[in-house]
Amino acid sequence: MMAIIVNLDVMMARRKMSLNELAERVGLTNANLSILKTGKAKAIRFSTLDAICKVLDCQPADILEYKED
Amino acid sequence: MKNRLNTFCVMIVLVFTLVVGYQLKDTFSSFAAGFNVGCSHSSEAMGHKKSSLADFMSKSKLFVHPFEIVPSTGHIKYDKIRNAKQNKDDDYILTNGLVFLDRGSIALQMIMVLLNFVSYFFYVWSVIYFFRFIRNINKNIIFDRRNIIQLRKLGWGFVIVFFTALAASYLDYYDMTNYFSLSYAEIKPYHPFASTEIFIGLTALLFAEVFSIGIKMREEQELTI
Repeated sequence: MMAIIVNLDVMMARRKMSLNELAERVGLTNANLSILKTGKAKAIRFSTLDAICKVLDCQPADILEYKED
Repeated sequence: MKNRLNTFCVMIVLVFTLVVGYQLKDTFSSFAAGFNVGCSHSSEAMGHKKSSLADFMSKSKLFVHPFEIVPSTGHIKYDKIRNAKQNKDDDYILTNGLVFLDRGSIALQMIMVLLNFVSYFFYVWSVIYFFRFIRNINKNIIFDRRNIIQLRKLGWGFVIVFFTALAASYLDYYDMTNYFSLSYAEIKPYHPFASTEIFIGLTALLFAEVFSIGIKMREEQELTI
């Protein structure tokens, strides 16, 4: 189990943004964004992280958290 | 690429067919010989005249053992053989032999037959999984868990073929050496199967692991957002 936790749903709730809207604005498919949101992703590109932070107006630390097992 | 793949598959199938064909021919020849002996005995009991083939086979012994001959140092025994091409006698030495004995263990013979049939079963089983693997490749199903399972079954099948054939060969050798020896040479067990089966089996298992690594890499790539 990876120790990196993705808190994308928390930021989406704060910005009152749906998955569909975020996916459209970031340029990802709903499926890929869902994989990221549910913590199943193995890696994230910087370009994707940059786009998400830009759309959600947040820092990477607001989306990614490290919690040791 | 698929044309090359299918061409190599056809070549492999031809080789498999030849190898299995020769092995089955040897097995059924032995079976036919035993059957003929049985027929001639029952024919004799009923007072019928024996056929020439049955007569010949009834003179043969029931326990047939193939073996290899390794001449002892300083005791090489040369025989003469007529060279029809040059019309002269040349020296020759036997390196393989087939001895017919009138003694042997029925139990060991039955175990050997069973081992040989197990070997043939797994040979055909492995070939079937090989066909399934190639069929998947032709359908563009390449890095898939099904292929890993098929490669592993194919690999273990050939490993079993090798060990059952080896066991049968050594059982036969053990049975023979209880009743037969040569004064001028050492008898070695005759292993009719080359080591290609174990090589193919291990290679298939290796490829299964390579495919497994490939699938893991593909999944990581697909789950990279």
